[in-house]
Amino acid sequence: MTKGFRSWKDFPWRDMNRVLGEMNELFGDYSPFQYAFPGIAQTQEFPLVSMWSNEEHVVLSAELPGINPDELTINVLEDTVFIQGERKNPIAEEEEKKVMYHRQERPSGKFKRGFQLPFKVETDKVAAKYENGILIITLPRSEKEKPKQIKVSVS
Amino acid sequence: MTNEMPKKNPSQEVERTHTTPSFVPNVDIYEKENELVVLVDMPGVLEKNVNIHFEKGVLNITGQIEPKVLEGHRLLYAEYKEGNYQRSFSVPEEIDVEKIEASVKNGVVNIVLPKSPKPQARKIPVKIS
Repeated sequence: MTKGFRSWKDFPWRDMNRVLGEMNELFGDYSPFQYAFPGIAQTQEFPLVSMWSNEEHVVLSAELPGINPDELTINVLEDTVFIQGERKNPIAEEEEKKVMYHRQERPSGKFKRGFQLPFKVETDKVAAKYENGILIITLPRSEKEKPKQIKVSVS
Repeated sequence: MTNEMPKKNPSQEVERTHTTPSFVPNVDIYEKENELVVLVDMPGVLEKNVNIHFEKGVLNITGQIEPKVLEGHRLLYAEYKEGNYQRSFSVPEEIDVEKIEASVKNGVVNIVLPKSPKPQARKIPVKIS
């Protein structure tokens, strides 16, 4: 599995979508640049992730079916979060000769992905849960970095 | 089991419309001595929302998600979209349909299709009178 590093804030999504929109107009219905779903980034990485935010935190969810959560490592360093683990092949190596694969589409092996957030994270308060094959990590914004309202004093 | 169901014949089956998008899940299919095993990735699908249906030699697997809404949040970035899963396979004749078993764990559906014992070739002795 390849290493990935992605900083969503640096990527010009809006420009990219505009260019794709123009390509689609040129090619009509047969455009090879057609996105299957608008706004969904196409990637071969594993796992696939989505991120949401509010004032307090970023919520990162990753599609990780069939993982032992004990073997999952989540590291947070300042404004970066890394997810690391392994999805095991359903057939152990010593048994591989005894079975015949008809299809093998589910990715397996070691994976590691990193994501940069728009702020530093309060590392002590990071929470993660794993449910029905989806990992959800809540990354609270560091207190120091929260915007502060400054009162204007009238002299 | 290796071949997916051929494109649906409109006269036989009517495609359903969905309010949520439907995806083709990734599968592993492997054959052991006495059984076929199908593993289907359905992240986000609860056990009660997995439906496995067998009819006329076709195994149909569907999984419905319960969409999660994060209130007061803004979507920053997305590589996947929530949706239902659907996939069909034709099942070879030697499968003992009555004994198909399925379980769901951590978003993976595990279906075991046992092979029925092959009829033994029988030698018929010819009596010489």
